[in-house]
Amino acid sequence: MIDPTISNAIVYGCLYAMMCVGLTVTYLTTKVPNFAHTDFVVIAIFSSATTFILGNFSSPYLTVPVAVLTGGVVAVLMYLLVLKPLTKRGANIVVLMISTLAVDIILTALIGAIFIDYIGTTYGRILANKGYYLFALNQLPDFQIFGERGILLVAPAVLVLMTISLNYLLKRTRFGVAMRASIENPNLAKVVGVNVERVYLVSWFIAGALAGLGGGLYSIQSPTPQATSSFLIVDIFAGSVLGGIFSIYGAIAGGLIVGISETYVIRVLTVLVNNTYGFEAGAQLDAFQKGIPLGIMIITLLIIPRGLASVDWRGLLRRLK
Amino acid sequence: MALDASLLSQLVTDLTQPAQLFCLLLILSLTVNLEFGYAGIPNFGKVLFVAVGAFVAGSLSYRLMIYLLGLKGADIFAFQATFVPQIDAHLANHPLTAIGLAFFMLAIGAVLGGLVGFLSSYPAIRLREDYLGMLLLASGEFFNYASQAYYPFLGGAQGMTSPSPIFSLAAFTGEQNLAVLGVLAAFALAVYVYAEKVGRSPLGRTLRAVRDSEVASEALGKDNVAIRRNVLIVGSMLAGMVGVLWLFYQPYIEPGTIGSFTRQTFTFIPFVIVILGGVSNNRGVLLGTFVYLVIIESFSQGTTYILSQGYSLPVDLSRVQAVLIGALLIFVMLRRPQGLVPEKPTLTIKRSKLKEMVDNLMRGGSSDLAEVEKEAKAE
Repeated sequence: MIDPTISNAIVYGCLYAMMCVGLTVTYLTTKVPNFAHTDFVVIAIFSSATTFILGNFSSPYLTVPVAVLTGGVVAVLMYLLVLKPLTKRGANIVVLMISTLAVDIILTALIGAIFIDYIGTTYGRILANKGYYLFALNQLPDFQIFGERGILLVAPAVLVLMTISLNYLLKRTRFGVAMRASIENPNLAKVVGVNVERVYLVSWFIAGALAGLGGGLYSIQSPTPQATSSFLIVDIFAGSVLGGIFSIYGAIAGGLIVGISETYVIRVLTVLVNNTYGFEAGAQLDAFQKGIPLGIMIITLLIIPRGLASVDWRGLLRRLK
Repeated sequence: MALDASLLSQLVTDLTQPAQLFCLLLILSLTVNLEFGYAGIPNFGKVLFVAVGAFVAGSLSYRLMIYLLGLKGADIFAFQATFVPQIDAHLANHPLTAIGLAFFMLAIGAVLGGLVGFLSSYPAIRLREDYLGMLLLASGEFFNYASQAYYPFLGGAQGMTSPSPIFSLAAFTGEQNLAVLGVLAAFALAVYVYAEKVGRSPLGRTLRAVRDSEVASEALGKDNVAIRRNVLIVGSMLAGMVGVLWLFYQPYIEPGTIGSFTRQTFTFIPFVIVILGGVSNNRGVLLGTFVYLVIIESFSQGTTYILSQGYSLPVDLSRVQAVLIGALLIFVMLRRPQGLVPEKPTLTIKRSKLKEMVDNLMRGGSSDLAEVEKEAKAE
């Protein structure tokens, strides 16, 4: 069996990568960092988890499509109801950012109202009988394969599939070309007949769906307390900034690095502190876990503000030789 | 007459708490207006500075008082229920200690707020606005998360109660809440006057220039980065003091992203107030704070009434309120982006003098102010 620290690090890395890509796609199209992105993740977690529990499904993997769909639909609604009208009014980037904060507040409250209050009380007895509580959702059951948790196999596989299909979509399809053109120069794209509005709409669906995908798998890897969206936001933004917020491949790398280092570095430090100062001291370190993504973000902004994607890797390699 | 007097005192009691909240929200919104309204800085980490001030001042003053009173306990947070009343009783009988403690806490709030404001914005202050917004927001979430999880700081998720020097000090007056309101109102007035002065000064116009056209202000020799940094430091110092004032108002500290110092209350609401009232316009902020409080007070009164009639809602009312406030903000941004009181150009010359100049021009004279004055003197 693989060391649980390593397997956790890999799984979190893959999940964060999916969420980071979603954030980057919205950033590319609307040019605004979407502070409600992790709410897409949480809303997807709750919708797939309640479907799994109340619908008596045999495995939570079966309800991941529900998460994908919910994430996509919520993202499209946000684009249509908030960002598109505001952009049409000529709102500047700071105003757009504040509007995504407003959506974050609304979605957090709605998640609480729908899932924790309404479903949590209406179906409270059924949920409690099965051992689930929505105000602090438990980790969903996983299958075993070769003595390992299934998610250890599924998360990397899904990430690879996602990368290949995104690559295919962007480079080999008409839609991908239209999307790249709309990102590069919306006005020129309009002139040559691209329906930019529709491209943005589909991009937002993809972004929300990827957040939902990450969320659906996240609920199998970890419990979901109420504050999940608040602390996931640190990881996801750190990953996107590290990748260079305009690059999809950068976001995949950034998410992987943030997820892996957060899990792994804290574990290594804890062991180190435990060995030096005793068990109590090491356990306290967990409190500063989110300091690692924050630190990554700060270092990135100080050294390479445009992220990994802006680094001239070939030149760097040549110089090292 | 006796009835009237009792009604009046009842009214005063009922209005004290909203009035205290008004002062606190006003100060906070004025700082957001200074940063975002005038200078265009998206400080989405406002909660970070408020929380740093409140948490550190609360934690340190509690430890200091325990040390001064010689209280003993293995875990100071487990003994709060006995320690805090003793501390407050001591403060009530020792006015000098209480005043000293209040100033000590405010100083901590201001210094730490400013320092954290400088440090947390340093990596991104040279970059575009969105990077700064992301960094400040993430820092706020990290601080709240770590404060909750690190037990020795504030006693974990349960939180702690801070000593309340002003409230205890005013014990002899019999109207402790009014005394606290007095302190808060004095602060709010001072910050308002300061914000008005800044807004009307050459600095205020420089800030708008930085906001509206960075290139133009740089071409005129202004150091945009230094200006943004300084505004953020001042705003964060004031926000740190708001954190301490908040403890004078409500001494309970419950850390964590769903605790009592949330991003919603301390980052989002001030932005709602500023946008509702009118950007870069202190009078608008005053009106916005008032309107916001009227809205949430009538919401809570209305729902209390409806619930008392035997109806019940399947959801928590605070969530309904959050949805309404969020929707209100988006509505205002879409329908009336200039807010209730639109931004006006600042007049550098007095209105009467301007009128004089215009009249003079109409008569075919010169518009030069010096000449107008000369003529006026000659007459």
